[in-house]
Amino acid sequence: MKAMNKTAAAPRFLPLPEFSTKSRGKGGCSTGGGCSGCSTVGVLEPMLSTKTEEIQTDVPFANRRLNLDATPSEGTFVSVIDLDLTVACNLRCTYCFKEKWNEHMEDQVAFDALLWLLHASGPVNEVFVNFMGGEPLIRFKLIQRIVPFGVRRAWQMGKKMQFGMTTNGTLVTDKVVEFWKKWGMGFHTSIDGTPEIQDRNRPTVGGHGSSKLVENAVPKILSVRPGTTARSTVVPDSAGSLVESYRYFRALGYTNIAFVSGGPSRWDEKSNEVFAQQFERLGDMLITEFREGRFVSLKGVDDAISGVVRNQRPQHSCGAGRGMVLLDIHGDIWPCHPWNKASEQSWRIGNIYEHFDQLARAELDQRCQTDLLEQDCANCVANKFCGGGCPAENLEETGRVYRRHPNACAHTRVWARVGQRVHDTLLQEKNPLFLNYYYRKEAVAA
Amino acid sequence: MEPDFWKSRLSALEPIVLTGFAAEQVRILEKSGRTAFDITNEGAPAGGEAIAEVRTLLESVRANPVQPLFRLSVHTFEEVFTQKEGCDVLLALMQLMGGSGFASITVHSDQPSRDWSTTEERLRFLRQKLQNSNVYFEMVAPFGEFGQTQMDSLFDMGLRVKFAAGWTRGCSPNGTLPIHFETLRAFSEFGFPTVIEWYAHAGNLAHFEKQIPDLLGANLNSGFSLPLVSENPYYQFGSDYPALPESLDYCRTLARVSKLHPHYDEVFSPLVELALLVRDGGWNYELDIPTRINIFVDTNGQIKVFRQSPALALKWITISEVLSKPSEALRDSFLELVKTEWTWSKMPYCCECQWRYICGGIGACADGPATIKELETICDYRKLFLEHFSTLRAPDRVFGVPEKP
Repeated sequence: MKAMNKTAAAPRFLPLPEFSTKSRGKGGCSTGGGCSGCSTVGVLEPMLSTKTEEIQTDVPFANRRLNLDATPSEGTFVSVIDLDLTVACNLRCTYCFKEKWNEHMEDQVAFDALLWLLHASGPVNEVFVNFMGGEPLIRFKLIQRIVPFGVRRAWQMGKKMQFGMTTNGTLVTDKVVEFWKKWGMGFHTSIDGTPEIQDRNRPTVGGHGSSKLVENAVPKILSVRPGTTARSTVVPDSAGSLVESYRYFRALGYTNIAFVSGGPSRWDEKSNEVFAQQFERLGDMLITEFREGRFVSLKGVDDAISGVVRNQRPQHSCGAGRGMVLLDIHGDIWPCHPWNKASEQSWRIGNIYEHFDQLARAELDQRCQTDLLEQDCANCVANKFCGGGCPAENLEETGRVYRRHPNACAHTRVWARVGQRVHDTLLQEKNPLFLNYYYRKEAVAA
Repeated sequence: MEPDFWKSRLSALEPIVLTGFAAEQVRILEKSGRTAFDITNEGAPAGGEAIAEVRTLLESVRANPVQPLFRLSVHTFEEVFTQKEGCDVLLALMQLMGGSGFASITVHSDQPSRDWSTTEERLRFLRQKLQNSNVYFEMVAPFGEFGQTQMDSLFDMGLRVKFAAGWTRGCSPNGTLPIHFETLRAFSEFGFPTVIEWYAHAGNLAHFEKQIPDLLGANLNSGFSLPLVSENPYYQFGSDYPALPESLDYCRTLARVSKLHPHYDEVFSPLVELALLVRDGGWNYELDIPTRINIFVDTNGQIKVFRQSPALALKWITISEVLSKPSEALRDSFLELVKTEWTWSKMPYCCECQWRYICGGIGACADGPATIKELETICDYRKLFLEHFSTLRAPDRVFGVPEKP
């Protein structure tokens, strides 16, 4: 693969060679489909190899020009991008898979990325941009420039560009919220659970807890978008406190809650059992919520119920490398958010200033991914909604994008069993809220 | 398969017969470009029956009640646009063709600065009064400042901006208008697709190609146009003004640039207009006028019509007359002028050209100010690319190949 251009001032893979994360997940994935979710887990550990590919450049950064031919010439058009506005972050989550240093995306790259999307989406009229990082709100000034630009430019091309953001919530101010409101942005909040868990798993750079900062931000966030998801990454240590965290999230006002396990190889039989027990209890709580007339969406269980109602296996786990890609701070194109490491150069699809390598994404850009799964799913209880898990996680854990780690399967089956039970119970009771949401949604989709 | 065979037998209908773009194939284009037939050697109909069939199809275009939409472009200077009377005139002219068709108002300026609040006020007035929502507004100027306060509402009212470059009034005949890159960037970052309108003359054609990467960088890939400087309303034919480029140079540049930068073909004038003429047809048989006509409202109160160059415009009416005439009388006056004064017999340069019903002509009357060499430059690229686009379009029918069931 041809190396892309960059300047010496903007090194691609900066030296965090002494550490790597064992596991990863995918942030901002909007497709669901029974994947293990945008989880992010693992323990910092020495890398086996510190060798990174050195990228050379002959073209100064300022002289680079967007290449509108670096777009898909065949296969699926790209209509969703994760955009890494920075790799810097004000938190140091214990499990974070992103390599961090203090480098931001050049402003020009951000503008070019949106233009690239407008062309890479071909005839697709609705396109989506999800700001990622690092913590994207570190680049709020840039966001204030590129969101109006993208919306207006898309409109001039007869398209609609929508924006979202995955934020840790610590930098949310009234000004940020006003901006979100004005431009109709959506967002995920990464929040792990009770203050104790949040402070333990998601400390600030200075080592302090972040729970107070997030607690202050949540009411602002929910006032703009009540349906914002509280996305919690579950590690074995926090698996036993899901119920407690659920109560905490509900007390904060969240109605969309995602407990997503990450780093399957970190789990064992015992922690899997704890995870299952907690989800059984969450299932009971969910049933109670519906009985009392409160709609709550619980990631995994919600996927499983939708699968039961749909009664048809999805063909894809997510859009990674197909309709969705990640553009990193240098304009490199990757299948999705966790997929831009030095050790994964063969998955680099290209660069918006250089080329788009159809071959690099060919393995992902398949008409039916579930046909390619390397495990026996035929009799699996989760096969109505599981699309094969997060391909990035699969690759990390098993070396194959279509082979899941057994623990990941185990967690998905927990969702499936709990989802089936919640479904059967509420269906039997003819719960109006349940029927209205799941069965009407299905009718509309049909 | 001799083209002359078809030409001679269909001469009354003046079709355009094209050969050489595909092996053993002739393309017959209705003279306004509305329809195209391919005739292949194998199985081609022969004899009187085939000729009659083709003739019927060609004639049906004229009789078709659905004629191409008329596109009226009104050009004026900013000094006119900012006056209330000027806006009233623009409003009256926009009603010329009723609510049908497309119309545009293009406001030209040679000044980098302006009072954006006046622009906003005038545009709002026109938007409120206009019934035809197909009207779009465009400003062409060498912008040197960005009116941040008014841009939101100007954008929402549908203003389009083109960045004048290459030449404008005040530049020396060999000079090139400097570009205010910061302003260009400001417009583009705001979200305007800020197309560069580079007015090409003999002295700046090569410079344009060198500048393209920087221009596209600054206007965030909004694209560019390369009209001849004679399309600039400040331009006059004469030694005090830039010389038009050599016809061959201009054609080559257009071809080269369009190949190298294919992503901007939607805005790349003059090629985009020519492609649309081939697609939609260049003549409205119902009104018996070209489908594209330009009107120019001058600062001296004169209103003129032109085809390719305002400097070759034909006087029509004055601002005060427009404001005093009822709209129907204005329309009749306009059509009469176009039909009687703009006949091919009064345009010796175009009167025998086979492309004239698609092209619309270059609008040069017998005693016009332009030299033959200048007219060649204005004309040649049109013929070249009309032919090119004519070969690219899909035929409406193919004779000689069995029709699909």
